[in-house]
Amino acid sequence: MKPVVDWWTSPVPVARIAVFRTIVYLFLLYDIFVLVNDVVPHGHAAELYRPLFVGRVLPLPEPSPVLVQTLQVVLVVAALVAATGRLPRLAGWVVAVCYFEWLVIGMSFGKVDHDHLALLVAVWVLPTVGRARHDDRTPTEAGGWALRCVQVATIATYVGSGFAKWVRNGSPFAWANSAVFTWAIIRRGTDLIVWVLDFPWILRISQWMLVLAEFVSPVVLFLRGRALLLAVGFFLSFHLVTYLSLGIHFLPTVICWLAFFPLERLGFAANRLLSERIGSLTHTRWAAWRIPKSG
Amino acid sequence: MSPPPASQADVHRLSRWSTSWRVLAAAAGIAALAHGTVADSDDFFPFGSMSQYASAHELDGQVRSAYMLADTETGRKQIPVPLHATGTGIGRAEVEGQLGRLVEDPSLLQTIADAYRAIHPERDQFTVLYLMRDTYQLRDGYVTGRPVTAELARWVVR
Repeated sequence: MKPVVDWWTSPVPVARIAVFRTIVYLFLLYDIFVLVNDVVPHGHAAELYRPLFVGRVLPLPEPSPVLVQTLQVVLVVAALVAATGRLPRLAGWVVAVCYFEWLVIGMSFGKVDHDHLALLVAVWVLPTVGRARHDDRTPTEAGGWALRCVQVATIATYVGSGFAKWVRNGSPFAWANSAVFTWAIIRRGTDLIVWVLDFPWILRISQWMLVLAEFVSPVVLFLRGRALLLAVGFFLSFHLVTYLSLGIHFLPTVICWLAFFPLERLGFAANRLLSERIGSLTHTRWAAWRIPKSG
Repeated sequence: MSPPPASQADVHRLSRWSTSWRVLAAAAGIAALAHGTVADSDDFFPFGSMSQYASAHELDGQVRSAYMLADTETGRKQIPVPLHATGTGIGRAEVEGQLGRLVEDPSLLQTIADAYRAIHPERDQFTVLYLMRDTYQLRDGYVTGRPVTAELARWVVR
C-alpha cells in the first residue's frame, strides 16, 4: 500500500503549483469566453435544456440569461484573483463550484464534450494546496497529490476513450477497422483533409495508431526525460492534426499536459528577469555589481 | 535571489488523515470514471464515458449529417442556419443529439429562431426553419455518388 500512497503524494516544489495555478486560472478565462462560449447563448434556449445526471440529482438552477451572466462575472473575478495566488482557497473554491455549474449547463443541451475532465479536476484539486509562492522551492506532498490527480485525469481522457470504443463496439479493435474517420471527415473535414477520403487505408492505419496509443497511454505516467517528451509530443501532434483536419482542438486537455513538467523553472526565470530589471532601474551599472547576491 | 534547495526536513508533509482522504478521493474518481465507461453513458459527466467518436462506422454503411436551413424576412430562401455558439447558441451536434425530439415536435425549432433573434436582433430573421439531413453511402470505406438529401421537419416561425 505504501508505494501507492507515496506515488500519489510524491512531493513537488511549491512553486510548481503556483505556476500551474496561474496558467490554469488564466486559461479558464479563455475557455469560458472562447471554447465553452455557448453557455450565455444557451440561456436563451432553456426549452432545449436536458439536465445531465448531476443536474437532476443536485438542485442546480435552470439556465436563464440572468444566471449565466452572473456566473460569468463571478468566474472572471474569482479566476483573476486566484491566478495571482491570493486567497487560493476562497477564490479557488468559488471558481471550482462556478466552473462546474458552467460546464454542466454547457453540456446539458444534447452534447457532452470530453476534453474538460482534466481541467475540471485541476480546478477542484488546486484549492486544496493552499498558499503557494512562485519562488518557493520547498517540496510539498499536498501539491504533489494535486498535480498527480491532474496527470491521471489527463491520461484517463485517452485511456477512457480507448475503453469507451471497446465497450461500445463489443471488441477492442472493431473501431480501428471501421470507417469512423471517413464518417468524421465527411461531416466536418476541412479543406486540408478531404483529399484523404480517396485513401481509406490511410485512415484505417491512423485509427489503429490512435486506439493503440490510447490503450498504452497510462505508461506515460511513469516516463521521464526524453521518453516523456516524445510521448507528450505524440499526443500533442495528434491534437494538432485533428484541429487542422476536423476543427477539434482539445485545448483544455492540452493545457493539463503541463502538469507533467517542472513548471517552477518558468517562475524562477520570471523572478530573475524581474529582479534584474528592477536592479538596473534602481542602481547605476557599477553600483549594482557591489550589491551582494543574497543567497 | 532564489533560496537554497530545500533539504528533506523541509518537505511539507501531509498528516495521515490528509493523505488518506486524498488517496481515497482519487480512487473514487477513478471508480466513477470506470463506472461511466462501462455504463457507456456520458450522462454521468464529468465521470461519463469518453464516447465522442467512439462508435465504429461500417465500411459499407451510411454517413448522415444533419443541418438546418431557413427562409428569412427579406425573402432569402433556404440559407444555412449557423448552428454554433455565436450563431444560434445551439450547436449542430446538439441538434443531432436531440434529433428524434425535434422531428417529433418541430415546435421546438421555435426556440432556435427565438435564440437567434435574441442574440442577433439586427440580422435578417428566420420565417421558416427546415431541419435537413444529407446521407452519403460508403462502399468498402470509399464514398460513392452524391448525398441523398431529406427534409426531416419544417417549422413556420411564430
